Amino acid sequence: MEMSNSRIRNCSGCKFIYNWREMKRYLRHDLIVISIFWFILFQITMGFSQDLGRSRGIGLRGGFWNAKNKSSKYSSDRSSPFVSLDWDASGSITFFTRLKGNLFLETNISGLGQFTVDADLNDGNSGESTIGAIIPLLLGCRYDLLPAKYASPFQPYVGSGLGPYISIEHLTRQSYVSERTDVKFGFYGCLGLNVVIRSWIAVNCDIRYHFINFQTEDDYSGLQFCTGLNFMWGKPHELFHIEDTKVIVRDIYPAYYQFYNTYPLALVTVKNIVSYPIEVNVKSDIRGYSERIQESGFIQIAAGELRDIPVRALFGSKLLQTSQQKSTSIVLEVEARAGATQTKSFSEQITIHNRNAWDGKVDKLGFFITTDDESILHISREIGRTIPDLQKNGTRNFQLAKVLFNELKRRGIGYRSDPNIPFYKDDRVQFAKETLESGSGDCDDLVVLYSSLLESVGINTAFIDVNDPEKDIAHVYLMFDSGLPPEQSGLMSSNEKRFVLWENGSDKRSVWIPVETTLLEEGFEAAWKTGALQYLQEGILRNGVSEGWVKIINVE
Amino acid sequence: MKKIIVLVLYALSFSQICLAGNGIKIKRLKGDVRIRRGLEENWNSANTGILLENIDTILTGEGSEVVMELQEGSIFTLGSRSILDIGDLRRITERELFLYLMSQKVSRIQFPDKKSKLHIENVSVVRAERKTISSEEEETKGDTRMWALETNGAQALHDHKYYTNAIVKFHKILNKYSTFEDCGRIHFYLGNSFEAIHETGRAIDAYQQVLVRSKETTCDNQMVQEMVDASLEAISRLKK
Repeated sequence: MEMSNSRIRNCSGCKFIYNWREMKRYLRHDLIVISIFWFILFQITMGFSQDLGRSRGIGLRGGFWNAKNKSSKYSSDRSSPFVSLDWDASGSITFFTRLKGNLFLETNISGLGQFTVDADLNDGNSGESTIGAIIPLLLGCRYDLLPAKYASPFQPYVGSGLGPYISIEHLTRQSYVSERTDVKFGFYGCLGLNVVIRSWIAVNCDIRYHFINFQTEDDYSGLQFCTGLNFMWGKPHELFHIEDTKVIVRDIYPAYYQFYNTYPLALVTVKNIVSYPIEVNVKSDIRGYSERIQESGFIQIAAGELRDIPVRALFGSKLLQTSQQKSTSIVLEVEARAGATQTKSFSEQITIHNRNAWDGKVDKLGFFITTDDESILHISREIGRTIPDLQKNGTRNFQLAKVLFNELKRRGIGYRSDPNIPFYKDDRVQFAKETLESGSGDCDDLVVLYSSLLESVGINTAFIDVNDPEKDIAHVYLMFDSGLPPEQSGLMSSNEKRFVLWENGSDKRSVWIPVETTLLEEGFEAAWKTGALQYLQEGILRNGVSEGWVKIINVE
Repeated sequence: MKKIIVLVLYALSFSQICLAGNGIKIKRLKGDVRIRRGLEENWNSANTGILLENIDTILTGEGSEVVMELQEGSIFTLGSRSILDIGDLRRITERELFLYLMSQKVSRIQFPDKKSKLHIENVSVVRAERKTISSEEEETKGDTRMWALETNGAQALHDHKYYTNAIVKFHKILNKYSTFEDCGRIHFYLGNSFEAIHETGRAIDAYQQVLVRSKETTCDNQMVQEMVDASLEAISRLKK
């Protein structure tokens, strides 16, 4: 059943209330099509993960606009020569840009085309046709309702805007032609849904009601329904910023690999820029050297908060196989999650030194000590077998240390300074096994060798690091714990200048024996006397210990 | 011409002899005086005119005395029953003194554990607080003797106005020996020494320790009482 256009036009109440029957027939047909369309789209989009939308975009849509509260229709009757056609079509181009968070600014150019014909097919000169168009130029806002923490490809929104509506009507009635142009102002309210397929494209469905002349009774006020695509670009909606990255360790010394497993190599400062907490995980990998990717673990950052996240690496003993200095990069991936997940990756340059490289810091020399090396254990077991009575004597440590020192002398281990390698600023330290094989070493090599031997038999050692301000070259020698309390120092020597009263991390002091390890060839007595004299002159008489240029560093 | 050459040679020889006397020389001695060279184990009898180096040690017996001429020409007398490292005669500046005191303070900082708070002990004057930790340790007779010998040597530094040297030496004695009862004697001389270099706060601290330590059971004699009276007077004087 159809209603004539004149009845609709004359029924003011009907301008807003649709002809329900017409609407049902019309919509039923369209609803079936739209439902099929959305079902297919839904199936496609479910296969994709939701990306956070970008900051700018353009939307292209098409649909219909029930201006004048009319639906499109065609009516004709075979028994009648009269034909009536009402056809509307609507399209829009929308440009949007993110203002802040979920709020967007939109500029919208729509167009509604109306084509109305009432004609008598038997009379070519009769009939009436109207071509109309309404072009709103609107500025408004759109607010996405779901925060990014709710991971969903469906992003509903609401919006509103206002602006001029330009209407153009061209009427032809028999030989009469008229044209009318009008500009009206109005506003709209809308509801819509973006189905985000990728961060740069979304399918859009938009319903808006136009209040032209700020009223519903205007000819062109009505409901506009469009569907189309949004193409987006610009920065994605971010959850966080990386404020700063500080690389703490740019030089990796393989001997210290166990140290790096707990000490941070870098600090990444992350700022949460959304209004809800996020969790951040930093992954690090040193290409070719890490045992596996190391993760910081997810750390919660409150809204607006800055957090420094330490970055560590997991090295294994294979790092000790590095024979040459090489440059590589530490790759960092910052992963944030709050419903959705966002990652950013970047890298920093670092240097892997060769396995014997040492940065000159005596507190790191202990990393070269290998108490479980087979060649060290072989010597200490051999010596242990030859002097079984040591256990009964309170000076066990002293006697054992003396015998081990003289054993190295017997094996012909001697002093030799490191070669000067041009442009190479690191020192080079041999592991104990390497010094035993080569038969010589400089002060740090011999200290490492002797300390490895002593530590392997349970004797605590400490390095004495000397940076004499009157000399260019630093020096290191060692002292070992005799295990005797100060009251029994007489068992060592009646001259207190021959030993040092020192604590080994606990609150108990004991008698420690300084030994100049570069005097292996002179024997233990000479090495002891020289070590003690050095400590006396440099550490005590010249105030080296008080002034800080003589340091005692416990081997742990 | 020949006479001039001989005179010049004599002058050169004389100057060489004078330059060779860089160490401290024993000018005069009485009784049992011994020296131990550097890191040697043995003590040898001292003779007049012997040159001593800063790594040597000198020891006087009961009723003995030694007079030494120092490098700048001044005289230092070490009384009986004393032991002194020659290195202790090098004048310690106030800067060196305070560096030493600060290094002692830092070395007393305990590594904090999760259960206890970081506690930095006050060592403006060392109170030998480790004695409370190792109070069960007993001093050997040798220790008592050595402590007394060293204290006499430190007191000699104080008597010759080597106040900064005396302060360092007394601190080393307090650090070295576990338990001893000096009735506040060391702290009395520490107070005097700090007062002499105008360190009022540290001086008061030291004098107050005298009052504490003079209450030990074996300290009931006139000398101790005189020390206590002097300390009280000093505290009241310094607090004004």
